[in-house]
Amino acid sequence: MASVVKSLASSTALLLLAACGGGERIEGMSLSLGITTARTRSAPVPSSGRTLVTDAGAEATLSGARFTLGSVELLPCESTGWRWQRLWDALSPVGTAWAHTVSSATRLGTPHVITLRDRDGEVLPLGELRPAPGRYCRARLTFEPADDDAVGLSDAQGSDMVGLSLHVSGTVAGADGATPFDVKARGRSSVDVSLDGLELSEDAPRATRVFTLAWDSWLDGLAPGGSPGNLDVLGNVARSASLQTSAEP
Amino acid sequence: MKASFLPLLLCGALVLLPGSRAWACATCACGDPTLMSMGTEQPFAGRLRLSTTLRAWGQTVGQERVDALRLREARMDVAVAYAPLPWLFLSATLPLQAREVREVSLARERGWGVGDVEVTAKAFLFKDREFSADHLFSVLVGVKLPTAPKLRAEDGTLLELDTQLGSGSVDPLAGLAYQHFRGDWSFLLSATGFLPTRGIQGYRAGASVRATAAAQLQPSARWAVRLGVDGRVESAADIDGEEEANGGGFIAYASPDLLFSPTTDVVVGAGVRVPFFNRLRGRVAPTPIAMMSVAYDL
Repeated sequence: MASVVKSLASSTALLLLAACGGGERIEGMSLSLGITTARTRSAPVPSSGRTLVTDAGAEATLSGARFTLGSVELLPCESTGWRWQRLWDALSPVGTAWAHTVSSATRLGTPHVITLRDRDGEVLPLGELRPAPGRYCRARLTFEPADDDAVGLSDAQGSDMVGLSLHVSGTVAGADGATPFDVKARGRSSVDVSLDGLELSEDAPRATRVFTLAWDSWLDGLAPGGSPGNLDVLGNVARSASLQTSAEP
Repeated sequence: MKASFLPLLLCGALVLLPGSRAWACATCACGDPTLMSMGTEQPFAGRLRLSTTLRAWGQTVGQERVDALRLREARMDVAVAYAPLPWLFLSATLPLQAREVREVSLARERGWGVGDVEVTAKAFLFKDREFSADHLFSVLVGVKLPTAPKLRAEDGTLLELDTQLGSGSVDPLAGLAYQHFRGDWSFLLSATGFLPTRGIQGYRAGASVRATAAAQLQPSARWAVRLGVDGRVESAADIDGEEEANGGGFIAYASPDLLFSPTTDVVVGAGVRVPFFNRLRGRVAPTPIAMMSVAYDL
């Protein structure tokens, strides 16, 4: 009988303790991302706010520019360990299948419609990634058409960006005066931006990176008298991206 | 958390301690000396059995270093089974669980406490003879009840669904089992179906059928070896009707066990469930499941 009492008493004590259930949360790695715009070439003289000179010598002024950044994906630095891991995965006898996801720990999949403002330097927060610890060498920025729930649609200053990856308007200076242009794009363009060896570890679990888009190169390839409609403006936008390390989003 | 676990472990050790002496002989009462783990025992009127099963398991869902969620759980199932009639076993199982879910970023959530209680009734519909039966056929009905509390972090926010210990749903279950005893050998075939309902955070686990085929050899009165195959086929879980990308499908485990009876009416079991055939949808990688149990006939 004593053993029964002991078992019951122990079980009861255990139940009472376990009934006080609880939980805790511990933060891990995080990378905050933002984006801004900047002029990277010397301004033409006399200059207005958004006047630029292309690499082919044409002068143009932007009156409006919006584009859609569809996703940002972190790309880890290649290592021998990664290759062995891939080989191991391929040989593993326990079968697994791949699932397709839009967003993940290394990919921000929320589209942002970004509007070129009157002033440069203002950082637009893109979001926070929670990747695995490790070194990340590059980030892949993909510009693509906006869907109807893209962030920033309402800030697009009168332009309906749904279905568009880019909408740029302005004037091109010529001998006969300024010629207006209006370029829309529905394509897709990606660029890999160096992250200067970003490393996330338990000692340094948090980091911030800001991408800068050089708007004064967006019409590169445009010669005097030419038309921006014939340019790969979206490709120029993508290629103008670089890393700015000092700013905070 | 470690401090919280210490009393749990101490009490668990107390529960695991066998009584100082046995004062009944269950195998004598049912006429079969086969060592049986909890849930497969033969009934006789008035049989009362207590058991504790420790289990450690885990799984990783998603792609390593990209979006993987690694889950690890240690649980102790405290169960009691009672046969009010020679053909009926009633049982209740209370899980005590500690769970950790880790993202690739090393962000972690931990939850611990009482899980969902399961109550079942097992009716033996056929026995080839009343005493020392060689063939037993039984049906099982039961329900899993939403007894697990909703777990929250220190800031009061709910832990993620994967960290919650219970589903918050009332899940009926039903099954069939056949047992055959032949000398030193015994055999078990069973299948149990689960039909989960919707629970917390809009989650509903997929309907599933779990089946077991096992053979046991008992060369001596004190110990036995058991080898089985456990399989589970399930439909995909969903949240508010949106199907989960990972999970659902079929998985099979090889299940070797060692059973030992240190004294009359006490059966200690240890075993492992090794996944050897995984056709679950998406990317789900389960770990082997380590098990240890003590069953005690009062």
